Amino acid sequence: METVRKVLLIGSGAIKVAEAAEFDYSGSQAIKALKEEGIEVVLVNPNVATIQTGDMADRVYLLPIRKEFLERVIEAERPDGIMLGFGGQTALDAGVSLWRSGTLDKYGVRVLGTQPEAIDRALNREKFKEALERNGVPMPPSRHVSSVEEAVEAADSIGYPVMVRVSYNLGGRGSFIAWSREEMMALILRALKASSIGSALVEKYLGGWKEIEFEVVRDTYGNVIAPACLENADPMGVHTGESVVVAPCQTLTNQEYQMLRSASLRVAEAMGLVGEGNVQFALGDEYYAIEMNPRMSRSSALASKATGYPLAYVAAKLALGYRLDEILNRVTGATCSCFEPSLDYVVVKIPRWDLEKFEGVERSIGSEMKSIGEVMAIGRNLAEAMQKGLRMLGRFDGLPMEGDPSEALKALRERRPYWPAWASIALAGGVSAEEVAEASGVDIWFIKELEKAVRVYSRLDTSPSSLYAAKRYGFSDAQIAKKLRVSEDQVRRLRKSQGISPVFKQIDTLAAEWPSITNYLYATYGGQTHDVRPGADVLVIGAGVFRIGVSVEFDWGVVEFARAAKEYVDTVAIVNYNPETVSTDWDLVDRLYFEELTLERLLDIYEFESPVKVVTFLGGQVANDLAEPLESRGVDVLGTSGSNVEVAESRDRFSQLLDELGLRQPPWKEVNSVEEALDFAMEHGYPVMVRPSHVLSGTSMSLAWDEGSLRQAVRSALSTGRSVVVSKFLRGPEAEIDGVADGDSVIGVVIRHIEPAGIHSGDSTMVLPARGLPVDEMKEAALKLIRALQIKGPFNLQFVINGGGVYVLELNLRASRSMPFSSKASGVNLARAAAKVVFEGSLGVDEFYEPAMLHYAVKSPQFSWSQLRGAYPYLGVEMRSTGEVASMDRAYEAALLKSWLAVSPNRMPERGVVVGYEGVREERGKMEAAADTLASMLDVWWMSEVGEEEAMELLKEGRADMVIATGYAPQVDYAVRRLAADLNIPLVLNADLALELARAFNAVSLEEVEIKPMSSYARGYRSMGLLRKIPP
Amino acid sequence: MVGYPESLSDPSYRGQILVMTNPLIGNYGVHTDLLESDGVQVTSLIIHELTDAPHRSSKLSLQEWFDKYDVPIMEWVDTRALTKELRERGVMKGAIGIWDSEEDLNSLLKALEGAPSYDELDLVDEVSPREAIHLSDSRPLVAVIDCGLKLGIVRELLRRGLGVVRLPCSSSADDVWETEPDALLLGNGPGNPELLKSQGEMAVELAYDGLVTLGICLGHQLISLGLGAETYKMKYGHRGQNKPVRDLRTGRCYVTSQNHGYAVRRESLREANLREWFINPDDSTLEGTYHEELPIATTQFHPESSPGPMDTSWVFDLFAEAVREGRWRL
Repeated sequence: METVRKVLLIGSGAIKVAEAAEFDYSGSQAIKALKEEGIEVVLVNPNVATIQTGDMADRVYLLPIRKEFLERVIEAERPDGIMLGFGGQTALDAGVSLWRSGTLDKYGVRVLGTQPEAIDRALNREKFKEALERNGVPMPPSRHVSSVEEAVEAADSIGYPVMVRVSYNLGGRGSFIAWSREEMMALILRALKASSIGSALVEKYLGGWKEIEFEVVRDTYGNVIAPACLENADPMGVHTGESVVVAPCQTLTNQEYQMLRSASLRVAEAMGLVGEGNVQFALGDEYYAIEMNPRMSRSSALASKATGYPLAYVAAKLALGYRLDEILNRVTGATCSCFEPSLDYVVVKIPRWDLEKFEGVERSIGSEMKSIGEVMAIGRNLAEAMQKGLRMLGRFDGLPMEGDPSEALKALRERRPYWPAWASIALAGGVSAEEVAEASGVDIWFIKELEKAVRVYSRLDTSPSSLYAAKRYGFSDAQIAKKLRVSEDQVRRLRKSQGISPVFKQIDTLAAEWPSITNYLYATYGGQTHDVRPGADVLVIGAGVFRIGVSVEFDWGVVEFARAAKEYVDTVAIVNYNPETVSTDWDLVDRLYFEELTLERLLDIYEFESPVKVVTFLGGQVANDLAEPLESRGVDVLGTSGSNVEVAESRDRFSQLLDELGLRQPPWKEVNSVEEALDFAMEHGYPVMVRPSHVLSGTSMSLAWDEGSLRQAVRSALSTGRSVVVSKFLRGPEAEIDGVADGDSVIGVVIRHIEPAGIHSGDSTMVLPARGLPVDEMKEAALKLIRALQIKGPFNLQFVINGGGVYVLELNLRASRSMPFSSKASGVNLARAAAKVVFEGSLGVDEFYEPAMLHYAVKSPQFSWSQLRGAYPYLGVEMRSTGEVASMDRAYEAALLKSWLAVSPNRMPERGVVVGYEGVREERGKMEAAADTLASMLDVWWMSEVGEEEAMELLKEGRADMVIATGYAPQVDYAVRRLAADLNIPLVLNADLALELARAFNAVSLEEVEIKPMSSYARGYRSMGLLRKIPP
Repeated sequence: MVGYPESLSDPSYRGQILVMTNPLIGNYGVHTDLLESDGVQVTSLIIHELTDAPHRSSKLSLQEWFDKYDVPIMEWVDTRALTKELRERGVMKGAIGIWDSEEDLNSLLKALEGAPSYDELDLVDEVSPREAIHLSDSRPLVAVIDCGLKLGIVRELLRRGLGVVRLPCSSSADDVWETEPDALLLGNGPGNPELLKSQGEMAVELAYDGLVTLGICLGHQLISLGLGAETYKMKYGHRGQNKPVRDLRTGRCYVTSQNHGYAVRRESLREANLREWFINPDDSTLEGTYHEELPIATTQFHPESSPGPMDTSWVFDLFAEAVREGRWRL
């Protein structure tokens, strides 16, 4: 084959429901595979929080993943190859459109890996079905439809219930089950709209069948293998992203397994797959192929981590023309990649939902993906892995053993999230395994395995055999302590005195049959000996499961820090359990503990590795919360001392410190009754912010504008059983500093928010540099605080600017969500700077160093409104976005425009804009200004004038292709906002942002915006190394 | 992972304590049809944890099946740690017992010491049929020398419309001719290949006289030995359903089932007039041969899989074709 010199790799853009960090992982692996070959890599991905948009590729373009931008990058870069399989459906769709429009031909760009014709075949269900049936793989009876009438007719002939699947979609979006003709009529329009080609497939409903997935790998010579089999424990009808998934497949006989495996190979052949793909099957008395992803997917990322087989790396090599048996298995370092891993452990994946954050959203799980994150747990039996997994979710201590069994059965029937927890409540309450299996639709084998654990717990006592059994079935010390009515530390001491401790085993892809060089580890009580010897110098604690507020940005910090740490110490280890991430890539660092982030497990690892230093300030709040308990048990925690972290996190002590330092803060009070809160409001005036004390990331916060809403807010906050903090809400612009300190000086970046205070910083549009704000005063405040608290490591300090004055809102002594953005935009890698501080002691700068910027960088939040069916789209004090993107330009407006356009489904409005709720008095002026500015380009309809019905008609007919609204008013505009979300029409949900955007639309045309790599703006980021050459 | 009923009923494991690396065994019970022989063949089973649940195709639980044959299962063993031992030391003698005292343990150890080594046991006699078993009289007819043959092999032949007669392992060339066969298959079996050397020589003799011959696993080794090639003990044996082979004629790679601790030495093939057909790309060991002149082809792996991937079942298509045409097209 011709030699490839330069490859364009397309990323997946912002994290949204169904497209998450798994594509950072697969893209990073692909870049690694390409760089090994000396190939120049150009990456287009606006997701600024990813690791792949760091220094891995030769050039990174933070641009929207859309044909018109990609074409301009191709024109500028002239790559000879392009890879479409590593950026999810977004990259695949963009690549297919480049191919269709002839752009690839025009510039002589060859698609590496699966060819566009084949991608097209796999994504178009009619063609897919035809190709499969030619190759003897059955598919469910179905019919392709592109109108409401056709759909109803097809369903009538197949017979209800039917499944409706959208062609060319994302994460099953728009797909649904129709149990009757009425349901079909109600939902089909939205499904057709969700398809980029306006069509859908009506097919036989296979609810209750088993769902089995195979990962397939094929080279250009036709060698094809299936390295992983994943069994969805949830039955068919539940999206695989919503299912509890187990690997290897547990309940299939050899005949069933081989039948499906062989079929998966035939599907890969029929599709002309080159690289990696995923094939899904339904298995009942017969079997059907359901679908195929001709690319790396969420499941393939999971399969890579579950088996140790580096699917993305191998896929990239195969795309370059390598043969399967030429590629070395990097886990053994000795065997080849043409084999299928054998697993001597059980892997369980559990999704995490954050549905309670979304008002109005549907609460049962089904054929559409709504989960935000996922965890993967490894054990030597199902219960051990399942209990680990439940703890990893951050929502359970393990399998719950108390609760109402009839309620649990009801929850199972309603397909409420987290069936394993409901199953164990039912089992513990005396319901039979058969009944639980029947209610949940889960194979009885899984239920019986959980029943074993329930039985062990019910008989638990302090005898060694009983304790050991409990540990083998995955019970934590805390669960045991609860049953035995002692403390967790007592349980730990007791079992250790009995010699009961976990062992650390390797994931080696071949069940110990060959020696292996991997240090991919997990802990288990299902074994007697360790596979490895201790030897880590530094243990970096990861961020765990993604949830609203915690996403790939924390993984960026963990990875960048771990890499930097390698320059100071020999052996760096990471603990994390999120299968989507780069930090859980076992060849990133010297040792990977794929483990829980609980105190118990960290102490296990610490005791095994001791002496080892632990880093908690990168993995977000979960890791940060472990600092104090670890430190108090004698663990050497690097960075700011735990007691000073406590000061920053304790409202009282922090407030006192601010007073001592002469820094302003909004007035506040801790209250225990509604009356006290009303007194406070009387004294300081409305609006008032209400939150439970010790609050994390805006959770359960609310803003009260009057006495009524204050009463309600305080009452609901008090119901959590904790005291409540009320504070005066100060209006004005919000700003923050991302920085790293060494106790005396700071390297930091000041960021301005477009949206005002009152909107969670994670949902705000951020701008660098922060012009027009009292920046010096903020820096001064930062210096005072870092000296007073002797901050050694990363911090984030938030301000509101009110009446010209700077008020401190809060200080977090850990890496912030915005750190990858501030690092990449400014050219100073703050995670590396943090490594310099902890390993060298000093940053080597004076006072507050902020790198000069000659360009603008804008970061925009990505919301997943359309995926979260029924949810009311609005912005407030709680965070609701799922991801972020950024862009840079010498002109502010151009940076804003590119950044906003990089958010899905945003596009330039061309016809008209509907103005929904206009907001409170203060916002109305801005909404009017925004509308006036837009009126020169678009038709403007005020909902207050045309009415709700008319506004919805405008959206349906396409006469309006954008909605702006501000504040919270579901009683006024729920239907309009929701319709926009369902139709993928851009929604702007804040007056300030609407105004800034309107001005940007007016000021710049898309042709004028810069198409330049990130390195041409922030040169420092790549070359900076460990900051040894920072100017004074 | 899957396929424990097949493995546990494979006569090649006769006389052995089988250790399974997959930590959960028994998940789908045992379907008593489509096994590799009529019952449990292993002497004992060592696993991490026994599980059990009804499966639509299962007749018995694994425990019930073993009880029926009075074979013990040992549970809660760190089979990964044990595998690492076995990987370095190779096949070892083992004993399973329950002891309360040092004395009991010592007597167990003594019994183990006194037990014959695996290489000395005549296990074939236990698993080989006493007389010819005619399974199908279709023509062409394949005479199968059954030294502990997996029934999966026979099923592959029957599936292709071939006649099959199973013959005792001790059959002579005359015994074979008596069945008027068109082809010969020498398959797998337990124990030390040295004890069966003569069967390899006989197969070669029959091939000289024109019988199209396929050797599988042990049969591959016996025929190679019969032609003058050498075998040796491998550093790490190949045991599992996930082993790669490369077809050297086409360059294609396949995933296969393998179960062998010995291999035929590649360097010794020339003298035996054998050509390399398959190799294992992991350690470059030989996985199949064919003869330059005689109608002989062999595979070290199990093309019938059972358990395992069916990627190389085409070897039986080739064999069926060879049987019909009187020669291998290789």
